[in-house]
Amino acid sequence: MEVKLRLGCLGLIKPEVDLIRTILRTSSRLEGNWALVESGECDALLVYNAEKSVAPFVMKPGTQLIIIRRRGEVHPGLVFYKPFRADELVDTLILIKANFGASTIATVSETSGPQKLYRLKKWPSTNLLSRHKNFMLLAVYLSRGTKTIENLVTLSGQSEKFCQQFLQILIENELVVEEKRTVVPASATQVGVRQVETKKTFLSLLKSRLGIS
Amino acid sequence: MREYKLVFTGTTGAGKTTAIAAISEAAPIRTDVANTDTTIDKASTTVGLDFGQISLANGDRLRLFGTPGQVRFDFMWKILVRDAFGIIILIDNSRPDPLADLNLYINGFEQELLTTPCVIGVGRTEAHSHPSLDDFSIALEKQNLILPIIPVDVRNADDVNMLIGILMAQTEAEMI
Repeated sequence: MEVKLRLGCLGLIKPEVDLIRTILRTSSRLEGNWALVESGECDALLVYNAEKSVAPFVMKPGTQLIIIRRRGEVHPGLVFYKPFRADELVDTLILIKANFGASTIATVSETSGPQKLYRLKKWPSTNLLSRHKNFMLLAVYLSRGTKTIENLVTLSGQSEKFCQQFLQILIENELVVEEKRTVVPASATQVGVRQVETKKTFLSLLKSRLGIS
Repeated sequence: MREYKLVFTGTTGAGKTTAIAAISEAAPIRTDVANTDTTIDKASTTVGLDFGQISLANGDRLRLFGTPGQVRFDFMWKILVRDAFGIIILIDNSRPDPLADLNLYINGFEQELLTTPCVIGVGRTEAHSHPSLDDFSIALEKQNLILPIIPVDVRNADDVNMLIGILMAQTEAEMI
């Protein structure tokens, strides 16, 4: 089960804290990934100033400071502007989570070495694709840039074994290019994360509208 | 409210108007005139563009555009495909040279195909099995293109939805 990330609020008045708590609870985009904490370790901390002391919170390596500022003020780093807008806080928390996940993946890559990436070099024959109803979808994914087996599993919802079997068929038929390199997750930006989330929402709603699973 | 665009293109008679009509929530707006081309067996033909629409639960809309098939209207193709979510190229396999037809649209959308998801739907394959889907694939490979190619009957909404599903899969693959 995925552990929730923890957000602390330092120096905010009670109505502001209640607003933040409501946003965390009700935002569907956050997917329940964040919880408000009142003390101890946190993954992100909302503050008015970079305080000398953050007690009762505890900063750990990787804790993100989100500075609160008035609109129009310029401040480097992560900022949450007043008057508050829920979508801006949600964007920032999604960005933090994306980078939090990315740093975890990078650590795994460092210890496990380069990964194998695959890319379709020719669209498979009708004969091959007809062997299984999900082969075409996997071929579609491989036709759009290089993918790891993990990527295929995530995209298709199929098992790793199934994806490996399909890749093996493609390899035997010389339909796929195989590369080995260290996968470095792209660093997310607030704009980039928002665009991806918007696209995901569009795709999800369109699938629902057309009755496509 | 956001608006997205999906473009149907292909030769005259390939089924662009029919495909849009199969899935549009309202009767699509058509710009037809009587067909005077005796080589093409249809009563009317599109001389502007077709327009349909699908509304999503959050108020966003997917606008469906059908390009005119005749080459003399190709100036409209690039305008229509700008910022499109995807391109569906429909090919009529009963025509004299379907591979040449495909080549026309591949060249016409050459720049857009570098980044925009695209799927090719080949119609009338039951009665006209040549060229085969594999022949289309080989033709695309010669142009360094790898695009999904599937047989479709655009009178069937499920087939049109399958084409859109493939575009969505391509979009998802690019987000990872």
